[in-house]
Amino acid sequence: MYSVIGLAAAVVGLSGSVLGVLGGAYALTTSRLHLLRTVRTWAWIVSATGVVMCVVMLRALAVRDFTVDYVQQVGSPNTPTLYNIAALWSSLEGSLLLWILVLGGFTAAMLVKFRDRHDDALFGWALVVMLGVSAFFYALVAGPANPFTAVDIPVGFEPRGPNPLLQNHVLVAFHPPMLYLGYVGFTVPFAFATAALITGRLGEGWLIETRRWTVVAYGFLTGGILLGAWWSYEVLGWGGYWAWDPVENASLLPWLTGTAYLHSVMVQERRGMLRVWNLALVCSTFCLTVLGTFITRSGVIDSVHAFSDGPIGAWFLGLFGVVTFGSIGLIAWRGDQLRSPGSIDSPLSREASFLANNLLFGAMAFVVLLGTVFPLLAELWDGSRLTIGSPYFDSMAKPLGLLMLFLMAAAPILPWRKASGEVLSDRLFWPAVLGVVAMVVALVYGGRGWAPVLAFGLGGFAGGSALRQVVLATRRHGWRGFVGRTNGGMIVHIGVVLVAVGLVAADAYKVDRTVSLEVGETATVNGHTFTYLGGDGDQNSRRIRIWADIQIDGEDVYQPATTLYREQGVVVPTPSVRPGFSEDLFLVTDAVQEPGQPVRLRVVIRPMVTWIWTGGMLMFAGTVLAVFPGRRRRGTEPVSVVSSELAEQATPA
Amino acid sequence: MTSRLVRWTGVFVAVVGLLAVSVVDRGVETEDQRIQRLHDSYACPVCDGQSVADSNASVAEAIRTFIEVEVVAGASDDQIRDDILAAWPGSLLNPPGEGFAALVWVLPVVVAVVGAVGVAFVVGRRVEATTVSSADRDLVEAARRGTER
Amino acid sequence: MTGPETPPGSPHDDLAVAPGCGGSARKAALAVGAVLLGLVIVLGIAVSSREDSAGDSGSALLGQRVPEVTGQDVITGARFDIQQTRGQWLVVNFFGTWCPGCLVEHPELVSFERWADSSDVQMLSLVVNEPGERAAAFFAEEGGNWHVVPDGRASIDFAVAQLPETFVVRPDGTVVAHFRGSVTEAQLRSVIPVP
Repeated sequence: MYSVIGLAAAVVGLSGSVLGVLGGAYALTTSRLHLLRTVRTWAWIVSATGVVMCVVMLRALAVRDFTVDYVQQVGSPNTPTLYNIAALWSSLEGSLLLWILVLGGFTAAMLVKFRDRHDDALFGWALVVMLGVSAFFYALVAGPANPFTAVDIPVGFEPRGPNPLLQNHVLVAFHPPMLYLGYVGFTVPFAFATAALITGRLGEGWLIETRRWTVVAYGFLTGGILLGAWWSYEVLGWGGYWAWDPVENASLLPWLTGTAYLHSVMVQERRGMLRVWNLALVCSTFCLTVLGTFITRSGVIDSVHAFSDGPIGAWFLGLFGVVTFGSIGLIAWRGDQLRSPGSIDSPLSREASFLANNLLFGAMAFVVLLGTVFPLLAELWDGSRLTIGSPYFDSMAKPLGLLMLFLMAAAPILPWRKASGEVLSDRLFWPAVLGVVAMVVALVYGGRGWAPVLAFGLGGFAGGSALRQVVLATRRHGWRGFVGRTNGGMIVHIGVVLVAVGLVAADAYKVDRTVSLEVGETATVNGHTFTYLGGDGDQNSRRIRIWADIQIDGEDVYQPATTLYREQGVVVPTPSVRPGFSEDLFLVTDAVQEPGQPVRLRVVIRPMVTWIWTGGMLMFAGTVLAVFPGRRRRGTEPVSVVSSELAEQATPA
Repeated sequence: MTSRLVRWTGVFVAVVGLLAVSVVDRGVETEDQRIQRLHDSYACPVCDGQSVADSNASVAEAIRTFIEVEVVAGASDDQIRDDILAAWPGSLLNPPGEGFAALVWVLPVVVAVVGAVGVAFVVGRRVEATTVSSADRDLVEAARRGTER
Repeated sequence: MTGPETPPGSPHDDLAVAPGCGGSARKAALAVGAVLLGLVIVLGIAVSSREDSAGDSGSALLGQRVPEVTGQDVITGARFDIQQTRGQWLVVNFFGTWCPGCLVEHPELVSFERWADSSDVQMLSLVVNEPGERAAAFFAEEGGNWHVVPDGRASIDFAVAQLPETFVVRPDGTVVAHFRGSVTEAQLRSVIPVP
């Protein structure tokens, strides 16, 4: 029964999306704008079928209806409720349902938010683009990746449940939905950018419409990436949080171009400049989310996190091609209308610093993309096998990261148009002093090496500069000094500084040792003692868990464990972490047959890891604050309004 | 002005001095640090790009042990690299700087330089921006005619 | 932070348009498009060729001279050098008592040994990732009387990925067969010609 309802919903959603796209394109190209009403109806139906499909699948998982293909893949009577819900996105087909649900949610939000402008061609085209993307995902779910396929229960069928790694930490319930809210959220600005290109209404209108949507998507993407890193650290047991794995890189790419866009968009709003560039950034952010999905789901690039190989890699590559060349074609077509009404007067100005920001983030995105796909290029070129991992990305990210921190210090205090040397000197002095203090503190606590120490210094510099702005804003406007895009942005900056400093310390001063211990033995690593007190185990129908009691410094006892998941026959190590303000002690053991046997204990000591998570939360909080309307500010300059009006009137709508 | 100059000279001297301390006082790499660095620089051959240090596959452990033994026996980084690459071509996480793979190092630099020149061009264009070419006037004129129609 | 710090924008009296931006946008779009077309083609080839390359490529050692192996036998304490076995067929087995596949194949190796003794075939087990004593205890319990040596650097030289793995070496020192996973007596005998 669930198969029938689910498939019916998918078919309705697919037809609705296709009819909406066709009807909308017809109405808009022939200027029969009253026909857009049906398109809106279809959009509502498409959003609703997404909800129906997810509810049906959750229900089928809840009652363990093993005649549904996807339930047979990931369902099990032994899975606890939370992980049974999370099973919806634990495998390829189900994750598409979540994608559709989120996309439908954004479509519905657009319909509500722009209810007064339903006959506007710009909104109409944006809706058509949203429905076009929906059509693609519905086609996948109705066709090659149908989770609802009715199947027979094979003789001797044993339910396996979700991947063990996706059922032993509560973060599994939050990281994927958050990441998808970010990924999918960038469809909205993309839809409006495309609509602006199609209608030729290339003024600042579309930007202002989607500004907040972009910030929301960006906040979720930031949160999703950091939760992913946190989950990886707490669950995977390899001693780190970021490995420059292709799937991780895939989530970082749209974040980088999104960051670049959030900054350069201010130049356009303010000065009417960089129009082509901003359109290109919005489009490439969306294209990179599609590319990332392709990398995750096609299996072309080996990755620890990749979904099991599906037949749909080619589909995502096709979508990537269509959106990429579509955007490029549109930009090339409208290129002559995108001329900039103004220029940058001085390299010492806010707008110039945003350009420098874009250069750095663009370069970083290029490095990440190149490093991720280069092994494929090399294999095609001369068949050579090549692995590109952390050392490459680290050595590339180091100079770019230092420059970014420097820019983060200088840019927020720069005025628009032109700054004088005196202004710079006065505003930057105390932040610079804070930077020097940070370097002294780092040296006192044993930090060595020019790059990390310089990073601490620049972190202090950037943090000081952001703090200065927050202090000035709150002094001037009270609590409102925390709200609004500019002020929220400064909170994000402080968060970024904490993350950056944490990343540098945790990487540069990492200590990683493996020791063999028998019960009663003590090992010393980096001044900490680790005593193996013994061990114990427990089991239930789902898993057998064996842990070791490790006493750290003669005080608290930590229990790194290994868990054998019966249904999958997989042993998963579960690390135990003693977090701290100055350093984390990360413990993980290899598998033993019986509690109390000799273990090999791996100890990873990383300084300042908690700073990363704190900074991440601050970044998320900052984006939330940035969504709320801040102080009323001057609009764009008259000249850009004029030019956009001219452009809009010059083109037959 | 002079007080500004003094202040910033102070900041500059402090930064350079502190950086000098951080480099000079660094000391030489210990054997443990060297082993850790080598563990971090090879990919485990059977685990999708995870490093030898991070993987718990048996081959990763074998390579870890091999590196430890060789380091203690006094082998150079190059010898260790040659031995591992002979068995596992392509397992170096840092791509080599020669042949086709050198592109992965060169291209980002090229892109960054081209981008920087582009940004410098955009920023430095301010003088020209005030002079409007005849083609621009035609465009504006065309736009105006469109408005009037 | 923009309030009083920002000078008011100077009004433009005409639509001042920076030259070059429009035309170069088109050129830039085309250039970027060309690069991305290349990327899509590469990824497309990668997708379509993924299925073909899934097969086992086999060991690079096949047809090559067997790497040097020396070490102290963990059972007899005697010094072992692979040169001693030159002139005889040699079976090189990588194993560890922690590896389930190795426990499965051990009885097969023991029964192969009976045939090997009569056929002038040497056997060598290389102990991976564990102390030699544990391996010695295992052999004492489960049987098997052949060379057992800590792997040293052998698992690197033989490029052993996943235990168990077994190589067969001809009397002239050339590697002629390679088995991944548990090996059977029949498989080994099929490679070595009956004397």
